Amino acid sequence: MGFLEGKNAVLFFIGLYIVVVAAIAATGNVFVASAVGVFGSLFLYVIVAVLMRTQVTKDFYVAGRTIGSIPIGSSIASNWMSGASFVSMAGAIAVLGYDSMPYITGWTLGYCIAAFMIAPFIRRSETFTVPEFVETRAANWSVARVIAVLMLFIVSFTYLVAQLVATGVIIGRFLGMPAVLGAFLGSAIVILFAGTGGWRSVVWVQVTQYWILITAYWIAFLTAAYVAGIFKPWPHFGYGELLTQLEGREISFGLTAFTEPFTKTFGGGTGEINWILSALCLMLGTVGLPHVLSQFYLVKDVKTARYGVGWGLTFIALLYLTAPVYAILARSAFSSAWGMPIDQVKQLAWIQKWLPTGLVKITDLNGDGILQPAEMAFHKDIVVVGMPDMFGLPWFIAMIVAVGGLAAALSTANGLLMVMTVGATRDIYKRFINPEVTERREVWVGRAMLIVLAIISGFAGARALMDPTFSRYVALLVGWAFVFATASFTPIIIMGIFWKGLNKYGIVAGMIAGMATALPYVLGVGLFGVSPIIFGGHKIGTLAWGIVAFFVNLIVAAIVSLATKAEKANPPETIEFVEKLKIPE
Amino acid sequence: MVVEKEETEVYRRYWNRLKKITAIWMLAWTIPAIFLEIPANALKHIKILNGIPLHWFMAAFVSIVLGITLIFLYAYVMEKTDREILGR
Repeated sequence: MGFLEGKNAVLFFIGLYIVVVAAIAATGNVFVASAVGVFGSLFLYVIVAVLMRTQVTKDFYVAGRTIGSIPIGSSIASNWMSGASFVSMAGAIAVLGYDSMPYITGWTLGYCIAAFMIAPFIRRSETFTVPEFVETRAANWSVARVIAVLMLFIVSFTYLVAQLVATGVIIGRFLGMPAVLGAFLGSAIVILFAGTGGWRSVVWVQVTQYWILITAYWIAFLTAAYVAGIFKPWPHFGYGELLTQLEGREISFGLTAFTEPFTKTFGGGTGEINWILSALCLMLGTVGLPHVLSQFYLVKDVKTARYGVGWGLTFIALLYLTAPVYAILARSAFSSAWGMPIDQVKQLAWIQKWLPTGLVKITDLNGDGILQPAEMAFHKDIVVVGMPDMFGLPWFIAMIVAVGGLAAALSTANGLLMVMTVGATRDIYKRFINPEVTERREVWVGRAMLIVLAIISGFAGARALMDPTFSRYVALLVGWAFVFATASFTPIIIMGIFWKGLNKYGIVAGMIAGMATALPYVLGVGLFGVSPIIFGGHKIGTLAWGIVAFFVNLIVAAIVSLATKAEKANPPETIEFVEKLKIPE
Repeated sequence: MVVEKEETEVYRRYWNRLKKITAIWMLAWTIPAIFLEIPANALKHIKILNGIPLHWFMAAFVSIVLGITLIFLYAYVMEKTDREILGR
């Protein structure tokens, strides 16, 4: 093979892809170029996956534990940033203003906790999965593993369904294909990525996807920022005047200013206490999510784990620091239409294009023929997908955005599917059904599990696209995943590393107590409309409540461990396991 | 036997240092995670960079950049500790 191997081959195919798409684009055939651009990117990922194929279980489960810090950083970032981060986050900020900022701080600063208290130790444990880590720490008590596997499946499955929905919507929107078909196509593609080489393929596909998604996000952002004139000297610092103008317009229409803090509902609660606790819950939840933790197994050594998380957060920040500016650009584009005659607004090119999709709605509520802010409703997805049109950018920017959104949705879907596959193979099949399985057979069982899981989630994704009620439950569950992770995994993983006295009774009691605290509140407030607890005049929403459940878990785990002879209840091999975590290899 | 005892002594020293570093860094983490955001109602009146309210800029920029800096600092300090105490 020679030249066409490993990194060279990947770079060669990326170059080929860009040249081909650019050549077709130059002929001016918009539809063909878009189709080749979108499908070509999928083909590119499959090539990367095939180049990294393997038959070795260690490669399949943990990419051979060989990944360096910058590749793992890119992979952590694309694994983390979902289709929703790419497509909807800027839109959510454009709608909620300052009150949506817990998304920005909450979905980033959790990685600090990961770097200081979790990632290096998870890597050092040399286990293969989070449930395996929990079981080993709980003195090989299978009950702990079963609970952990269950949690892993509930969280990862709902998350994966949400990704397939996003994939379907993006493919549908840009290629005029039915979204349901797009969701199935998404799950079929993911089988190809993951089936070839397990984590070894997925991690390199994710690296490729990261650079594609971030380039796409930034190209659209920088061109819009240039048109809006906020390069003073750089968009992230130059939007002051634009923001002042926007807020002036908002106030003159009787709205609260965009950056006015604590005026809207977030996570079912209100006020500053809710804001701070919600952000903390997102941070603590991040590091308890199985698909986030699983990345820490793939790195070369403990030192790489520490730097890798740093790169991971840096790469995440490239998008998360940009989304708030994106939101201001979009909101300022919307607000420029306020006060205009409605007939004239409907003549605007981007309104004309997006009105039929239903992402923008204009209704003259008071019948005066003038557009009031309340008379223009927009779906949060339009901020990113509609931005190229709002600022009159060339058509290929819209295609680049589609390719990026697809990369974001698929990269997260890959990771989730791998976590579930490894969970089903290693934590269920090998642990409980056939511990004597040969290595070769184990990889094939893994591939079979992968296909079954992908097909089931493909159907669930299609169902979510067709049935709004089902779709609503999926969205709710994705939001709650952070509460459940904060309430169950995060406290016992941190305590399990730092306190030898934590024993198996404490672990299981803590997880159960945490979930028992979180679940009734989340269901009551989030689903059945029970009014939330009010603390100091601030409504405590479901996310903020996660912090209460976190401490309940921590305290119950400590008390139960102490009541059951703490350290003395741990067999020597568990003590040895904890001792091993402390010292790098 | 003597060698083993020395080794456990080194490991104990390493772990104690690591615990101290972890505690310091987690305390530092509360600055971007909590303390930069608490005074939002006071900071909103301060405008920087031609009109960006400071409370917004804290959450949308400063806190995250600070978080990244903390992680790299931690990785660097731990790398030095590994070398110093464990000799690797």
